Amino acid sequence: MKLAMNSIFQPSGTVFLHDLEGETILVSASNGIDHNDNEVLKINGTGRAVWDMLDGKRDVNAVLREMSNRFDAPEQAIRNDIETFLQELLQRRMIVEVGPSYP
Amino acid sequence: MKLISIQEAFTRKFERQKRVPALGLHASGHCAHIGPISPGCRGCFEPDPFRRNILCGARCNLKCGYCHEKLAGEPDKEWIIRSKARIYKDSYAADYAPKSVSFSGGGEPLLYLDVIEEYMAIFREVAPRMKTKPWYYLYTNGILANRTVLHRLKELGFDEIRFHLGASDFSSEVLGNMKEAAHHFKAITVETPAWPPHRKKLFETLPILNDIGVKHLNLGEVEIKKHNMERIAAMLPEAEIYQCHEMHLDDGGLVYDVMEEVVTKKFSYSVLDCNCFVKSMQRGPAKGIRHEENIGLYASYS
Repeated sequence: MKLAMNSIFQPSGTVFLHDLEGETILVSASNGIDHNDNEVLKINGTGRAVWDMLDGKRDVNAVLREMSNRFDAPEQAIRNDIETFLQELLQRRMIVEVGPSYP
Repeated sequence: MKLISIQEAFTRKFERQKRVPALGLHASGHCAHIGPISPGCRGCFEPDPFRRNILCGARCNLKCGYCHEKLAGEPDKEWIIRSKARIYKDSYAADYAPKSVSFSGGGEPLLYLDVIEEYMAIFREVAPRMKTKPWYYLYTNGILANRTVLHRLKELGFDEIRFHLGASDFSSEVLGNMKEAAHHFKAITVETPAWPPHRKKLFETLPILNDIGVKHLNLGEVEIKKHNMERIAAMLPEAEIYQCHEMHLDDGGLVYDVMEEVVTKKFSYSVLDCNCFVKSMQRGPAKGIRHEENIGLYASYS
């Protein structure tokens, strides 16, 4: 599924960020005692930068602009990385869409 | 070695158990013991995350003839991250109520005091989300359990230290460390294999354990795995082995002989037969089922 560039995301209420062994880890709270590897995700520095921008206010376009300013890489490559990362977070239910931005 | 059927092994065990009138049963009879067992042992029959065991590392400072452990190497960074992340993940569950946390490993845990400190720091961090205070215990062969280390373990919050006494061949140095430990922890346990060649020294040590103030004596059947099978076959060519969950060495009734001696001599510690039944519950799918008699046993420790 392709993400709409005006979508706005924020962390779900049940995901928590931890620094472990020098790595950034997202951990989802589970409702029961079952273990599911989908509930733990290690993210790299770029992922962390995107995560910090998922504040429920900025849309994907704004995140892309900010990342393009920060990182010296082709915009299409950054866009692909952001989309892939957001898709993974959505699939793991670590973020929720809070709505589209309006012009 | 001779492989005997599960029927033969269990029939012997059940017949032997009948001759110990003081025998108590836990976890639907899988766990046979005399006296009250440790909260850590009760935790063996709880599913994760009600029980959590931390593997510290693979290095060891002793070399036991019966040792079945042979880790491929030290836990790698990814494994450690998953292990620690799991504690955080569990801690966010609404019903997070860990009953026991143990530290063991393929090697000697006290060679990894830094690792133990890191994990205990995480448990302290998540403690406000716990519905219960878990029982923290640690396995060691006791060689490194000197006064300084014991004090550190106490500061870290450990409740129980378990000494694998057979590893040092029941050394007086380790018995001395146990005596010191008995002053600092809620429980001192000896957990050592029901290894027939240890019979004489084990019986000689029983009154010493009583004097030290040991609370629990857990005798574990020796597990037979690919790393120790040939070694044990060479040491005990007449030995008999059987399999229920994993392959175990039949101890020839050693555990129940010890129980009878402890009852007869009125020693104050409990004795537990940590046999193949226990392992099948502790490590098999049955662990996912909470047994009715386990619930509510953790409120206090006497």
